[in-house]
Amino acid sequence: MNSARFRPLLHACLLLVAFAWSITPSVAAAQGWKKVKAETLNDWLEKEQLTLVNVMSRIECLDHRIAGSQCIACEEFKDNLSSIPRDRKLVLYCESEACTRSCLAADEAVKAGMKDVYVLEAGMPAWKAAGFPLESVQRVPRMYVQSVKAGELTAWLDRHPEFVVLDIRARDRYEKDHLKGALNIPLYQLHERYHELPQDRSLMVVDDQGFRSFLAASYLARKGFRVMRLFGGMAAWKSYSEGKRQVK
Amino acid sequence: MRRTHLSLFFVIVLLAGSQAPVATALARTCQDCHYGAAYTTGFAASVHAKNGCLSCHSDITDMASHMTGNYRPSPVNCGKCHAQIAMDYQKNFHYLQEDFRCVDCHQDVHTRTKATKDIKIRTIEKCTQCHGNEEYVTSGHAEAVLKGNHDAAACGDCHGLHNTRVFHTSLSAYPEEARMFYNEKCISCHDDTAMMQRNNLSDKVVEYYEETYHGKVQGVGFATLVAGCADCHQTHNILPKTDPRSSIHPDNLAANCGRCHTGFHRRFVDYKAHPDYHDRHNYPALFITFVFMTGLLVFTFVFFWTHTLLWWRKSYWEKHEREKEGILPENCMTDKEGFQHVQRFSRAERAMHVLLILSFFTLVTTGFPLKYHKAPWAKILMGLWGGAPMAGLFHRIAAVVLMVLFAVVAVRCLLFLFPPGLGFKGWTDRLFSPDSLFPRMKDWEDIKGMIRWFFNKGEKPKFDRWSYWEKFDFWAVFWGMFAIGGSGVLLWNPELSSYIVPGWVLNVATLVHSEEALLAALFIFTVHFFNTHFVPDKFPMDRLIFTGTYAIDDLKRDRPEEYERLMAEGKIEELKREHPSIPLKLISATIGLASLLLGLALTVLFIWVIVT
Repeated sequence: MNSARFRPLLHACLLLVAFAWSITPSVAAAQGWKKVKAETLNDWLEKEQLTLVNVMSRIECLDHRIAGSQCIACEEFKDNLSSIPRDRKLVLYCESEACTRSCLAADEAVKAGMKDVYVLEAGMPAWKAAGFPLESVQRVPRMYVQSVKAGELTAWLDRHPEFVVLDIRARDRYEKDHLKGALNIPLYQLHERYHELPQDRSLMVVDDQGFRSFLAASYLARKGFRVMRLFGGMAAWKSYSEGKRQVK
Repeated sequence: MRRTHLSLFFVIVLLAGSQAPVATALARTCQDCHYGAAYTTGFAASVHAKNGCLSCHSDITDMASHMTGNYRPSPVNCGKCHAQIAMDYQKNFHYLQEDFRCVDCHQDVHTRTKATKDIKIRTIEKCTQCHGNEEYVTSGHAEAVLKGNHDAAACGDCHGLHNTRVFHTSLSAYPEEARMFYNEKCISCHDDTAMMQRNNLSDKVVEYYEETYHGKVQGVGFATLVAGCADCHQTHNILPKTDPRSSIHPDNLAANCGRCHTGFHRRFVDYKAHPDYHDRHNYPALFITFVFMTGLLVFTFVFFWTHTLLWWRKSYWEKHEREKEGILPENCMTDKEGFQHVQRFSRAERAMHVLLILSFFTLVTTGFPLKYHKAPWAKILMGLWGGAPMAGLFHRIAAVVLMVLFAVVAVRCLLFLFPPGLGFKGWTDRLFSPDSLFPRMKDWEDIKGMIRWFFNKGEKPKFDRWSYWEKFDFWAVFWGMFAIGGSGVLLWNPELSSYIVPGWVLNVATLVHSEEALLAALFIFTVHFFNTHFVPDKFPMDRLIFTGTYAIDDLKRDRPEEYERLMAEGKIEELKREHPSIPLKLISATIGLASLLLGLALTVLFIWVIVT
């Protein structure tokens, strides 16, 4: 008697499991692209023609990239899809282990109907750690750019009113939240728009996590600007301002 | 004159290349274009002067293309000569994440001369060109380095020089590794006795830290859950506690502790982060607690382990004599009445004991990985529980179960003393009655009798319902509940506890909780196990606590006074029960043997740690 009472519940559970099982492959398929390890990519490059795209900014891409790469920033990838051949593998990579930018670009490629789309697993750091070489087309000589820590930023900016904050993050991130008075030129546009920056001000360069501001600051320093940067980027600022315990 | 020699040198180097495009450019030297001091006089005086231009800039194979500006050389591969550094650098954060090359830090590569300054000072000068850590420059470490102290930490000592790890302030992908990495860096120096003595610093701070809750959780592999070195001492601005700028200066402690803890009373900061239990001048309460707990452990185990050993000797020898003389076990000669089972423990008491076993093992297996966090098995045991947070949760659940059991027993005791209807009437008689667990003069006589029996000086005492060792087990739990339970409750929420007691009491509570746990666990796994199960008459186990009944013959043998009393009072009939069923016996044996084996295994692990 008791088992009969619970039978509808059992059936409902089984149906739920079956439904979850049935949609799992389609969720995986929705991603539509695969990851490729650095060693495998190196083999491919030796054996076949493929399209290799660095989705970092142009400044970063020309500074250092895997030999033979095209430079198409993630933000401009959708508009440049037509220039990518469809008869070969497309491998996208960026400069972080999380590969967020590559993944966004890969999603766009899949949406556009491209097959054989790959993302370099763990990005260029993995490629470098594996000992594979890079090429520098237009290397930005690194300058000794000083940094300011998040906890000292406010006081530092008060003491140095000649500085203006330059936020090089993507526009949407800047619009979501930014430091008071910050200008925004996303890094992928910096090589075209740096002349918009006030010549009479010094620049405090701010990025997402502190990994990209050094190169941007070096680039601007070569253009004659006096530059500083926020150590750890907006992530460090948020962590500090929210009072979170930071990993040392 | 010197310039002529250099030009000649470069021509020879270029000739050595012997490639055709290079040969077309031989009419000129590198210095004709690169004529700055860095490439001429500066280079000639540098440590790299013996190298030619192309030995480093080896990718310039088409000189004409280079000279016309069409070919820009790639960054130099210094690893051709500096192979080990290159190998280290391949994992360097600056390379992996920001693509720094050798020249980006060593921009003086063409003019670099043999080092005349201290390497640590040069490192600080180099790193602070980008990392403007004013806080480090004013720190105790920097001050010592600048005074020429080679022991004090410069940038490279904590972060590495060419093998700077991919740990970054904002990189949340490696919190555990980063913490462990930097904690280890601090420990590597501050645990070095010779180095600390050389610098007039305590070489025990690491050892003392590892005895605290922070140190134990960190040691068992969950560094992000607790304060590591840098959380209290900060990262770069490390200063002695006497300096008002120091994070551990008394005026700054509330803010410092407040970075992790919230909602505490100001006396919370009296907590000692590196307490020395042996220092009676600076930590008198801890010292007294340490001496008391150590004394309690030593006294308890010396008495009971000796008692156990003597008991085993006597029982084993007696059994041997019976076997030698062909005397059969008593139950082979008994009549049917002797097989009849009588109840000793009620169903509720048996259920409570099973719950007690489960909660006790949960407490031991979740708590001891912290106590002995350095033991190889600690991380494994903690991993089996799913990590420190999960182990902590189960520890607290088991503690609540134990406290509820304790409360039930306390209520039952009160009901025994002051039963409904009788109240206080005759309560002293009940208190000292044979059914009471309260000690009485007979227990003292029984102890003396047992000792005489151990040494063949008399007969084994005739016990009533409760023997003195069973009463000790019972009262030990009561004491244990106050010691271990009280300290545990204080430690459960240390911030809240600071409204009741100052922070140093939490240090005392930690010590009491830890030592009392060892006392309880070892006592149960050795003394209680022997007295109840491993004594030769009952080995390998007595299932009485699980089945609740035993044969009248066993009652007669183990508790003759109780048997005689029950017979005289005519109560034996009402205690008679059916022989336990097979399923009950199997379940009893399974739970009992599993508990015994687990307890013995844990004892081996504890003794392994204590001995090693």
